[in-house]
Amino acid sequence: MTEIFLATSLIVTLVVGLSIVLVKLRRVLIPDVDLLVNVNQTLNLVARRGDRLLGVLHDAGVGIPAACGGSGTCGLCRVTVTGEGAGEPQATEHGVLSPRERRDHIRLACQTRLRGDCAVTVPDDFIGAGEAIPATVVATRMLAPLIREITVDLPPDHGGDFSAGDFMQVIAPPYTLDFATLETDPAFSEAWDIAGWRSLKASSPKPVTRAYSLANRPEDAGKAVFNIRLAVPPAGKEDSLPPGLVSSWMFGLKVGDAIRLSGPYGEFHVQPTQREMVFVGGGVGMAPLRAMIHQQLGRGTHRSIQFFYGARSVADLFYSEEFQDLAMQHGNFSWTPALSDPAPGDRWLGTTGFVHDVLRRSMEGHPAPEDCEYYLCGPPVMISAVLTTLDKLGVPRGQIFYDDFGG
Amino acid sequence: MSDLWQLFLLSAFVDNMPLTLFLGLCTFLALSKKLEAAIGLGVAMIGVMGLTVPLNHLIYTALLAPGAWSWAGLPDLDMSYLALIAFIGVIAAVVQVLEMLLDRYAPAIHAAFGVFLPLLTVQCAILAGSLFMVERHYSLAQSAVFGLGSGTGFAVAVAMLAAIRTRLAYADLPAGLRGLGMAFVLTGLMSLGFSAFAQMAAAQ
Amino acid sequence: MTELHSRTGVWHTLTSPLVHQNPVILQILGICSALAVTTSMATALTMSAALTVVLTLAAGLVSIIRGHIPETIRLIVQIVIVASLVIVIDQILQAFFAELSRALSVYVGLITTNCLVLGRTEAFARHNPPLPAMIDAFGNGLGYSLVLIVIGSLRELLGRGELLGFAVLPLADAGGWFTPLSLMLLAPSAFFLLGLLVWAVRTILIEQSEPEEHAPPPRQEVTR
Repeated sequence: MTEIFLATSLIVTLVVGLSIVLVKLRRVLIPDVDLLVNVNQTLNLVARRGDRLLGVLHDAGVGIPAACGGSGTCGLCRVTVTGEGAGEPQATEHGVLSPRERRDHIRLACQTRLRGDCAVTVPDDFIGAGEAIPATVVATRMLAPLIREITVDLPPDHGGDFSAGDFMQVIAPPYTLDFATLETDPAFSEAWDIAGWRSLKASSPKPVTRAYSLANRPEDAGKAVFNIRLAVPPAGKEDSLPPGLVSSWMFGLKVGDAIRLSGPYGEFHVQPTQREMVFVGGGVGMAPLRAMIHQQLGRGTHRSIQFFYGARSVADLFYSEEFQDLAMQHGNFSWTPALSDPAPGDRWLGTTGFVHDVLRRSMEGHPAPEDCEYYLCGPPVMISAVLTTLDKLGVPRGQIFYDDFGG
Repeated sequence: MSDLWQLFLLSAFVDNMPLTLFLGLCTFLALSKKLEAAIGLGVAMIGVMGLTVPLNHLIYTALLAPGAWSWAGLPDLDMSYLALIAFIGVIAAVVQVLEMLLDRYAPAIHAAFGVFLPLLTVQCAILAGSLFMVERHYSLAQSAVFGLGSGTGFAVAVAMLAAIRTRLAYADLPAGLRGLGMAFVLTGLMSLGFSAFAQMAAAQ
Repeated sequence: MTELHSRTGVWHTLTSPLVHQNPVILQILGICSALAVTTSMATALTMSAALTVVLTLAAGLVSIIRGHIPETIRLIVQIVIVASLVIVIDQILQAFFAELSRALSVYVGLITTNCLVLGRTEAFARHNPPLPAMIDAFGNGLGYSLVLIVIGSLRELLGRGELLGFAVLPLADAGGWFTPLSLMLLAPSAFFLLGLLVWAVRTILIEQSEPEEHAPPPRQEVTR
């Protein structure tokens, strides 16, 4: 009995003692002082030691995009940081930043923990653009069981200058949402009932920001069109994983609701060359590709455009008629939807298989696949499969442009 | 040659942690792709091992060893089985303290080696150092030397492996052997070289 | 989810770590101890059993309390759970298999810091209910055991001509034809064998091989 008591108290004392020493030391060694962060030599911000630069900038309304939510993978939050407070690039940044960028003091704001005063340079439009644009939802439409098209009316002074392929940041306020109250299109209600999504609940205690690509056509000027895929937890994990924070909120939006956005931003654009273009998309990777294709065709381009789009079954395929019509009107545009797992009731007569296999079969018959330009957007798995396929076809990396949602 | 110097050489080269005793291989292989990272890891290893082994020695002899409580009238009390948990606690604490100290007084070193410190909390070689100390009944001075020696041995080995792997970066290896497979073969060759030290020690 | 689906799911969780997702070969997890104890089959088997038991129980325990561990101290809690289980196993070995316990030396204690154990509790058990978590852990334990047994049997067979202490190949000393390769009992051979094993597996399952270092590696799927 004594032994049990002694042993237990010994371990407890040891662990508690060590923790107390640690906490005391931390207080002595890491003083809680204010640091100065100077942005573009105009804005002076006060931060605490150990704060993340991204958070400091966001709190001050500097709208640095961060599609991955600050996990250091999307590389959108590149800023130039100088001064003793910047410290050295972290291991996570080495994968994203090139040696040249590192030499030029470029850092990922989400990975920079402040150690002292520093000076930050960001593109000028971010300082203004960071202020959220208030806008109103003017239309929502369900395209697939988990995909909704949301059209937002932008205020007149915004929304003019955007190039196809851009994205905007959506700021979801704190909210709670019971999925049972979501209105679903009767066409997709059955899928919802079978999957049991109505029992889900989503909530967020603080504002959260995510980036969504614009799916605008030329006739959507002054508006922002998004394809939102509701991120539901995989079957069997409903209890342990929450649904997507921002996508759930966006799914609950109705006509007339207010929404706050910033942007547009983006690096994923059609290159001004005369090469043939091949677009490959999957899921809501549709959005930027749709914008690019409409813009190109609308300008009367003579470049040949092929669009391969992968979905699981007919229910997940959207905008199909729209692209069929486009293919009828424009001789230089072809539309190839590929279903990987058509449902028995689909009566699918089109192409089947994964989109990268369909692409490979088609491009093997092409006289010079290495002379085309490729634009990819979709889930990371699809992107990596397509990249491998293109590699085998001998396409140089410089002719492949992609956006994998910051994954 | 004094006994302590001999122990240092023995722990650094003959009983080399990764190459002869297979300890700390996870970090050994994972961080040996680049020379700078390898040197950072090695320096962190020397510091942490040189501190934790003697510290754990103090805690073990004062509190846990059989007979440590005889002054309290409990000569039969043997709590050596608690050593494992106590050692891990001490190692975790030392690593954090070291990280904070470096951060405060030597930010340049912290930037270079800081990221490796948290990795060392769950590194087998460091825990093994303390466990060997108990198994081999080292004194306090011996523990300190053993800790420093083992750390040095690890640092030398990981820096060497990283240097070799850097040279092989452009070698045209069979696909299956690339990366991990080749790292194992290289480690084997280095281990073969290090076993010569064991022969030298045996001949003495 | 139909009955059939869930059963294949369990089967997949159990068998995929054996070859396709082998923790040792693919993820360099837990090799520290894997190599040191493979000089003979007996120690390799004991170690495999000890690790599989610890891993399975730890995954179960972590999974049961997964909703109650505060994020900040979860690593410490997991380590303490694993360490306590290891102490129990170590004491059992010392009590009933004194000789094996001496041969395994500190390596049983080192299961605590075996990356495989923490890796599985951290990556899988923390997000899954107890049963799947334990099945996953058990499968990974088996995958680890498989590698240990293959290397252990090769080393014992080629180094001493024995398997589990029974003579298999007639030794030259005893009038047979087999000269033991004493290198097999030394440290370097373990590295060579594991290196060759990795090579063999990756040649058959070519998708596991690593990208060339001077080509830009393809972006990998992010696991969250």
